[in-house]
Amino acid sequence: MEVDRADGRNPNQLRPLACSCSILHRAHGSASWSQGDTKVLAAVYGPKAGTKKNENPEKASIEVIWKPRTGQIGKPEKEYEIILKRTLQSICILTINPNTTTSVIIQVVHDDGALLPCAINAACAALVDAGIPMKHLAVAICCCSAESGYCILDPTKLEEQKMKGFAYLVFPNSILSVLPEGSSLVQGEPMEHGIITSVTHGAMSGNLSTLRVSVSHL
Amino acid sequence: MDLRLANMWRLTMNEKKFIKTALTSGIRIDGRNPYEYRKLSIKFGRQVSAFSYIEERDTHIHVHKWVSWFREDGSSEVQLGQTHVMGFVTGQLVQPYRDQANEGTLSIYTEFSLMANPSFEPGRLGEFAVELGRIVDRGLRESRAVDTESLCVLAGKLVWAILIDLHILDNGGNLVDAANIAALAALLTYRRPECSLGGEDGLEV
Repeated sequence: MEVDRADGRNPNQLRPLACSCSILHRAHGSASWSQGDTKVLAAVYGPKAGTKKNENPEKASIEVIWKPRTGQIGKPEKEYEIILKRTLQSICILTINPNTTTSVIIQVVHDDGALLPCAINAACAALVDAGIPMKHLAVAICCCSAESGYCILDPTKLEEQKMKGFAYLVFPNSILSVLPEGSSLVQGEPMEHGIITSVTHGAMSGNLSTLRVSVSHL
Repeated sequence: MDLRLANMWRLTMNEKKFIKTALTSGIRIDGRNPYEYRKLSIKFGRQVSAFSYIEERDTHIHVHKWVSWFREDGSSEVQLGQTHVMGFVTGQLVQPYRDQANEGTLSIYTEFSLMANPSFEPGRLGEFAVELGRIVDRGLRESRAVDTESLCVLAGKLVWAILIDLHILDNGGNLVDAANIAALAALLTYRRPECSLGGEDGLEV
């Protein structure tokens, strides 16, 4: 179905991506990721000795600090920190450096929609720059659905406000790592249905079939 | 990997001795003169752009056209050698203090985050961060760089409160200078929104 987006993109089209690594000197790894006008800076320090009290000392732990563009840290920032922490814990190999803490600091430079996926991508790039051992890379995308049932990818801030519900989906970049054994083959290629993280906002009933179709285009 | 396990930036005795000996003979460790500055670069705001695609139906050519571009107000990025500081300025309408009923307020928020320095613990405002905030604050306030009387909208009821957020991204030394320049640069590009009074207590921005 024909959809009019403000900047003329197709429903499946992403904004131009830009990524640069090693931009900070003190941090062990750093990356800046921008999707269109949304820009996020990530810095990684690690591994440092010792873990916090409520963390498992037999594994490496990841600490995430989210810094908003203006103002103090509040509840939404804490939520982003938790989501990011869980996502990064599932892609890093935690058994290599036990009893250490790796700190990931996210600084929001500008928010123009799809902020959390941009941050996940930036954090992943910064971890690679720091040399932290990981199983695979994480790719995050924001997908939202409107009242009339159509789905679009990578919304801008204006588009996000008009949408009924949206989902952030994070995929591993290697298909074979999260698929169970004996999974179904479609046309000779393994079907990608491994998802690391998904966060949903708003009401999305009845839209899952269109969501799956648009996601498989990625 | 050993360097990473150390949480602090530790200097060895030999390094300290080397720096002192070099300084007494007038040389600094990066080759500068005692009074020489590092390269300073200031980026003002961010150019925000809006695209529009124009499709020519008969030839199926998509043409990218710049519809409008404008600078985002109130943000600056300063790089002094390896030190990297970003400043953002925002304004809000608030009630003034009773003893300064016709003056706006200026406040500076500096958080010395883990990004700049691996030894900083999050959640606790370090001494140096507070001191840095106070230095920048006193510098701007006492030199009357911001005319607080012009920030008044309605005497005794509504004034503009300007908040300057300084984000320290990379600590390469001399944060005081870099933070001051970032705060000033961000203030220079800041345009406060137009505000007109309508009716008895109506306010249109």
